[in-house]
Amino acid sequence: MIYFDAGATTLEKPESVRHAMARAVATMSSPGRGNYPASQQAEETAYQCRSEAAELFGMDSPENVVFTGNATHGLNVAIKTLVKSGSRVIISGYEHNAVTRPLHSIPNVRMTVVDTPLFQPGQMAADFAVALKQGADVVICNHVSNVFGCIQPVDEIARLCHRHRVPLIVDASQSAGVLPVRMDEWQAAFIAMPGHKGLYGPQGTGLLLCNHDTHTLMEGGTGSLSRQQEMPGDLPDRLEAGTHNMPGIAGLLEGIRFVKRRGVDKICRQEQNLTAYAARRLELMDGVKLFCDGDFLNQTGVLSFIVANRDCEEVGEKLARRGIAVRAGLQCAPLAHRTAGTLKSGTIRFSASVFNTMSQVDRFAAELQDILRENVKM
Amino acid sequence: MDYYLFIARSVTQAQHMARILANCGIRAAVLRTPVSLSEQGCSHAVKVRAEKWNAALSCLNRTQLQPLHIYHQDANGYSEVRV
Repeated sequence: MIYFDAGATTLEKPESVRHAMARAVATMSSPGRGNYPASQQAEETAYQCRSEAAELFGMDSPENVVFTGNATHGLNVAIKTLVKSGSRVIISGYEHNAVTRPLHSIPNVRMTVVDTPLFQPGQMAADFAVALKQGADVVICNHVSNVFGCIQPVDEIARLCHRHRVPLIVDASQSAGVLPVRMDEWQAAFIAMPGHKGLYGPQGTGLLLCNHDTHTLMEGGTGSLSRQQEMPGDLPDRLEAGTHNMPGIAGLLEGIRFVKRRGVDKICRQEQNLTAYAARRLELMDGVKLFCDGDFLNQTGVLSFIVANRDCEEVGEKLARRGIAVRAGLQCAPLAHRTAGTLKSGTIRFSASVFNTMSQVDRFAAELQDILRENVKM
Repeated sequence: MDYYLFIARSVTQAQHMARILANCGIRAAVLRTPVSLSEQGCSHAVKVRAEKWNAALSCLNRTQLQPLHIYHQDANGYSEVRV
């Protein structure tokens, strides 16, 4: 199978990730629960993972790097900490359900959606500036749209939030490991990210970078302050109730090391090159409409397209039968589709990782062309 | 042998403290705090040799990592150190 669904999960992982996970299963128990080697080794691995993540993402303190199950988990903590009934919240028009559903669950949230057209980061920053002038309690924005790969102007939005003293939550699901994500520059309240996409860790891992007091989403044992019935006030224990996913954390640590070794800039360029090449192949096909930034300066390795008179799920299924994995439909982001005008059709999403090659793109394009010809025959 | 225990807020903070101390050239071990010293239940501590405790405290004072309590351990048991 040729896998172009890295926007959901990177399937191919560095070998070091698999090895670290197997080693963790065999040798690690729970961190902080005992003065014996299995627990101490888990402690050491967890600490190392927090430290290396803190370094990669511009955090002063490893204590403020919290392990989560995925980005959705982190976003829920962040949103439910900052957004209360009646809060005024500004979000971009490209948010995932991981943002919009938690907001929907809080009553009487007054939401402003900044629905700037695709690939216009300058305009989007200006639109956020206008929205912020009306007043807000929280701003939430993804760094990269999971549907269209467009890079949002988070640097500018962060500056605006800072000026207006409004806390910012950044969803770095599609950018962590692909673009510079820097807490020290953005000074966001929270940055949430998965471990299993651009950080090349396993599913069931994520990080929440915290620069703000937090409310707990879940309570339980932490191996600390056990007589106290309230959750500890200090991070990371405050947000890490229960036994840690040590195989996952050990894998994530190796994923982060892989990203650091290879370099975020290099990874980004490689994915952009693959996607730009795919776009050049697809734009020659009759009936294919691409959603892309011409020079790929404002787009990562994610490319959405539609095929005239064809159901996107049907095309996705035909590609799957030919050994090509892509994501079709709404990609859990109906708001992004509404903003881009593709809510009815959905899109087919191609998303690359560093393990993809140009020849795989050629094969993908050839199979798609073949499917389109089949359609003509029908 | 005499030791000092710097009680941390979490195992992660204890590890961070041990790293900071290592950077100051002070060897420190992370361990679970003896239950007799854990007023609020389980916690973690950083253990340093007695002759290093002052240097350790100075080293930590240069960061934002402040121990919750400091205990001196000798043949007579533990005694809290007020700083």
